Amino acid sequence: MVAILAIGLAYAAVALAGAVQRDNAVDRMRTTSGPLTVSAQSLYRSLYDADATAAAAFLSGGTEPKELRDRYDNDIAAASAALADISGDPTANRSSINTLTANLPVYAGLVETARADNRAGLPVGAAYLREASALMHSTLLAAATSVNRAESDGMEADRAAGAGFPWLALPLGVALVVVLLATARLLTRRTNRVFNIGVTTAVLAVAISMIWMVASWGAATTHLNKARTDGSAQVKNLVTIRIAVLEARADESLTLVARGSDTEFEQDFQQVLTRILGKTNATGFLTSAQADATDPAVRKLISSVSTDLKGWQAAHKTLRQLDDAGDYPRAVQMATQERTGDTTPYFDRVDTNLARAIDLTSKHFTAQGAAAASAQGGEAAAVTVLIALALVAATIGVQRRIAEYR
Amino acid sequence: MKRLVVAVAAVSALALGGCGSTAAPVAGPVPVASMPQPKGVADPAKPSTAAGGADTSCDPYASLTPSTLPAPGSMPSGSTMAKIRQRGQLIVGVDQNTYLFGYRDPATGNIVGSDIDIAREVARAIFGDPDRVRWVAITAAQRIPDVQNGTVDMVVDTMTVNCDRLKQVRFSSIYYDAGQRVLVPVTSKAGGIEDLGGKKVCAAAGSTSIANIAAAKSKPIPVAVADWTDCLVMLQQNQVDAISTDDTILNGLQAQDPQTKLVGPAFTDEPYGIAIAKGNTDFVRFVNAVLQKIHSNGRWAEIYRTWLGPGGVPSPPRVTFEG
Repeated sequence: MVAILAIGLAYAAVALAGAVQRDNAVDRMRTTSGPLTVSAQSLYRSLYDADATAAAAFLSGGTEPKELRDRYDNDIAAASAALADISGDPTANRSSINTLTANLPVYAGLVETARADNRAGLPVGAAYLREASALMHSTLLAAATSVNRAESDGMEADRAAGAGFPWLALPLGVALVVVLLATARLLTRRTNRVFNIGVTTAVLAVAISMIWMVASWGAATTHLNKARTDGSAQVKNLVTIRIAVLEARADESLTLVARGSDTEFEQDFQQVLTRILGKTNATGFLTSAQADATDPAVRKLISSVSTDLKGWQAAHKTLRQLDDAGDYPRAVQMATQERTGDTTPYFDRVDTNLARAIDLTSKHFTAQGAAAASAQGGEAAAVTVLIALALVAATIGVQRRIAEYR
Repeated sequence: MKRLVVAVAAVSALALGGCGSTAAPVAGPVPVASMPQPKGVADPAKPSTAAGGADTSCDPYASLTPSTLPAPGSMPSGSTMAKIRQRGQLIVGVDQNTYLFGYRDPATGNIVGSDIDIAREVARAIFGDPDRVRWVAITAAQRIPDVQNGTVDMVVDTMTVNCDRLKQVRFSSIYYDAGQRVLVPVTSKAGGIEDLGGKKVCAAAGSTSIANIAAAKSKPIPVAVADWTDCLVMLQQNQVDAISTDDTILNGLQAQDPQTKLVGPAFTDEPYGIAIAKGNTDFVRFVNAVLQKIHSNGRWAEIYRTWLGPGGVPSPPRVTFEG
């Protein structure tokens, strides 16, 4: 009897603790580390976009176009909001957050100085913009990368913890069943009764609790895996593509801004587009994203991104030919205006469609996370009730037989 | 379930609370703002960028005798000018950061300035059209390599002719006389390069100015940057104490910031020439003929008045032709 109670209580404690732990991990993933990962991705993207937009606005000359100014302002607002979100996370990468918090206002200050000088017609504005851009790439984006990595690692850890198999609880459950069966056999031998209702009930209750645990684990794990394959893993790749597209956009502007014998930015543009679109014998980011996509709507968006990127590539070639042939003004027009065949409309469509694809994919992550939580939802309570029932039933059954026997 | 978790959490919180660990945020060390630097800054400048300039074995004012200027349609066949004409445009290395000499007008995005206008006169002589130019924006340090490897046909970029450079490229006759001075904030007490011992003084890498700063008797600390405007950024951010280079460039920087002033006399001679690759002697003679023409027809004085001297045009720099 003592053995039954001891193993029963141990089983109850371990099963309950495990269930609560998995439950909490899924909860954290849904309410904390998941959203923080989104914030970290948004932080990086907003910073990159701010820099690319500032370069494009500078290229337009004089008073910058309103759309570009709005875009820059929204980027800085989004980056600040994301930074505030992440700052609240006690597990975040502290030193990177400090770097970002200290330097984001410095960056914005440099860009504003550049703008004031540009409006006054002073070439020193371009130098302020170069300094701002150097700060962005050498300091801010590097820190945002490590914040990004820490947050997405945290989310993946929560997801894995949520899908953990109850290795400790199950053997204890099996042990409990074995002890109960041994007791039943002992009682049968001593009392000559085949069935002991109390002990039988206990065995059934423990068995059901184990089945429940495994079933709930199975269902939750399926959803958690789907949250990754249908959600977070795809989002991560799509965000990478979106940032690479921004890099290409910045390269295109900066080649024209630099106006030099320096071909570094143009080389980078070609490399980035090759990374995204792939070459004849190498798959690009888009091909893998297409293969990974589970939502037909996302697949469709990726195809249109691919088409627009190829259109951009062709338009960019024309732009470069114009610039190389000395027609700088028309090259700049192609990069800054929004007529059909200019590069900006292609970029805008690519960026918007990628944003949509990321949005759709994130919804799958959220939905699968919620499904995992509800699959696990009743587990802790059910297991507690079942084990309590088993212990009570076993106690009553054994006590009664012993009393009868006396 | 939630309630159970909350209950458990509450109990453990009570239990832990007894230990008296109030998790008040701990204030870290007071952070100190760090000022970002322009890309490519060398503070202090490496000795290699601050070498040379002392060689006096030659006459920087001497250049090749001008050719007779052919009409735009009839460049001698096989000549450098004929090749340029066939290409359809003159490729000129310029600066887009030197206010009034060669700079990008932020309002239009066009590169303008007095050096630009002189380059346009060369294009006019080849094509009959001053707009047939492709501008390549380069830094001071790129000027000699770009001329040598043929990236550009010529460099018109406030470029001082000196013996060291004459070993690497050819120069046209002198089209402008400048001298190195010092730009400081209006609040500065420094009256010239002699007062800047141990202070940071900025100039572009690969310029004669950075070498002159390093060679100054008062021993200032030279700080090298990519473009002249980077110096002004660093001065405005209190990262350097002064900028020292040709008065012409300093005037352009001073015009962008009324909180600065030029101090002290010119302590060097900086005669400007147009740099051309060593092999293209025919082009040097041609450019010298163009310069001679714009001196005689008043175009040079007009360019000077437009950009540099509402107060009066100096007499043109002296020229010596040999060979």
